Amino acid sequence: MTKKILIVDDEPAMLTYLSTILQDHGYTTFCSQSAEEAWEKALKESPDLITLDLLMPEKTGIKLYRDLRKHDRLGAIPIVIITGFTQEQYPMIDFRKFIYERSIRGPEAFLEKPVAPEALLETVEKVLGCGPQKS
Amino acid sequence: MFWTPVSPKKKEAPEPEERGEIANVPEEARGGLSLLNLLPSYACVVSGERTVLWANKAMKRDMGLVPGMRCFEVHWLREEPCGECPLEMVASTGKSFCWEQSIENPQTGKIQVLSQLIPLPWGFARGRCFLEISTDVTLFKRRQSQLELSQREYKALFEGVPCYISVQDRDFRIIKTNGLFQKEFGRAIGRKCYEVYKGRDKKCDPCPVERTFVDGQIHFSEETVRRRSGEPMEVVVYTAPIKDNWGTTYAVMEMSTEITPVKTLQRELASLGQAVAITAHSIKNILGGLDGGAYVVRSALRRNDPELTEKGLSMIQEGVEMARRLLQDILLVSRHGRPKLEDISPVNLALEVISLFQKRAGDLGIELQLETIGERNLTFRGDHKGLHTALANLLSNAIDACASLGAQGPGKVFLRVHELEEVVCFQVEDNGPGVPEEIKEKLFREMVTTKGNAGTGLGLIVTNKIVREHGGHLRYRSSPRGGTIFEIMIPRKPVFGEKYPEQTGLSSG
Repeated sequence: MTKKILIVDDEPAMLTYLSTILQDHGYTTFCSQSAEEAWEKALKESPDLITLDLLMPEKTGIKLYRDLRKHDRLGAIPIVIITGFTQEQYPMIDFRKFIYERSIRGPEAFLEKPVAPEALLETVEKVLGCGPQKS
Repeated sequence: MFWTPVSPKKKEAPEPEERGEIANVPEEARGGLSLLNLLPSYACVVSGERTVLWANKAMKRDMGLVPGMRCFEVHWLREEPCGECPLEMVASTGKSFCWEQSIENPQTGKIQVLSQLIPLPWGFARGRCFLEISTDVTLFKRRQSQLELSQREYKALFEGVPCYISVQDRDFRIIKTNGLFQKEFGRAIGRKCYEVYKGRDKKCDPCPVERTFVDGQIHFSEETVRRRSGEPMEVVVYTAPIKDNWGTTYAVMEMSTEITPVKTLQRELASLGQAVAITAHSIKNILGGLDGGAYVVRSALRRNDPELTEKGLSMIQEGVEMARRLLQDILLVSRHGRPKLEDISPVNLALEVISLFQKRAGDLGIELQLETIGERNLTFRGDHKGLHTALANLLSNAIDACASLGAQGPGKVFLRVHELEEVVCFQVEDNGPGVPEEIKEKLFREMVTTKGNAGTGLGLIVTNKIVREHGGHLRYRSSPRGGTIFEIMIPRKPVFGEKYPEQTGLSSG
């Protein structure tokens, strides 16, 4: 059975890009352009992994992250943070620390945009603890 | 051999010094003349013919007197009486006379003396005689001229240094200023420092003058003051204590040097550095988008999926479009020179800009509205092209913010023209999600895009630069309706000429 990945990003282009890479390597993908929609899809599809952009309008990625982690069922789903925030750009904001500090589990991995296909695949495989999916 | 007082008849028969002198003097004056030996001044008794009859010890020691010398020979090494000799006058008026003269001292050369010629109440055989007492004032004179010189030097320094100097008392009252100060800040004597410099009604805090009064040390600070013309000036201020003989600071000298051009340069360099960093980030984003687009196109071709091909191509198209926008922004940021000022009607400008966005807003289901407050539409001086760009940037941002509302819409964007007496204010308000709370402060100061690949991040820098060139402010605050309000304030008259005015920075509030 193929692994299901929920991709959350407010940019359609990013969604297309990430889902194309993952589909090419045998994953089933669901895309969400907002945190609200992502929450619904997570509940419905029970993905094996979620990639999450931290900075999104309305409900931010950080809020979604916390909600997911606190949820009984969804709390166990590994999360890969993919964001345009880089440490060099925002030295004053340590996002990892920001997440870790709150008595909830940290993300399984952290990727900075732009994301190279190899880096994405390697990370996803590692987090899921399995080899590449057969398409 | 010592000189002996003259006694015409016994000229050749010198007597013992003390006795001989005194012997020529009437009995009643002897005691008095002996006392003159104790004086640190030169004293001598001369006859009406100017023959020295008696001299005190100091005079004999320093002048090398010989018997029968005439006073002008002693004092002046002359052969004839001095032209300005007061002796006749003293003789005729019977009143003593005081004057300054320079006399020849065989040992030290010319010296300056303060002399007093006093007619004596008794006489010798040849008639009346006079007492001349001369005090050496050479050193005093030298000190005096040194003092005058240093006063002149001090004055030259006070007036000549390229600093605004004021001297202030404990109440910050200005008691003295130099010419440069007066030229730039007007007449200030008697007025308070903070009033003259800043138009304030109480002292600044902290105040370097106050600190100098407290600890007697030199202090400095950087201040923004106001010229007489109202134009701001950035200065570095040094304060130095002026102490009395007992070491108490009774006044403070404040020296201000203008550093406005340095500060402007500093700010420009800082914003240039910021722009470079942002540009690099944008290029990284663009490349990411192009890479992603190329990947998607390749994948789509493999899958023979025309729809995905289309998506990939539009990602590439978007990247190219973004590069074009970035280039435009870079050109605007790096544009140098003054804004081209012309008469602008604020409402017409707003209409022009808003019409550009009608279609885009309509497509996204966003309501776009122009509101005018004041309704006078008086023209103001500004750079039409620049302000057009600035407003378009803000409107574009607002529409993007509303677009992300999606189903939570409808988005609403207001462009308000608020005409005030002194300023024209443009407000762009949206009911979008606002800047995410977590990063509001930092993100805004950095002025980076929240739009991922959509924005260059230079938009607000460009806008800020244009507004600053007009002597205006760009401000940001949360709207009571949940969104964001950006506000451009442009002074009706370019208050600061066309120079780069003070940095206002962006502040959230």
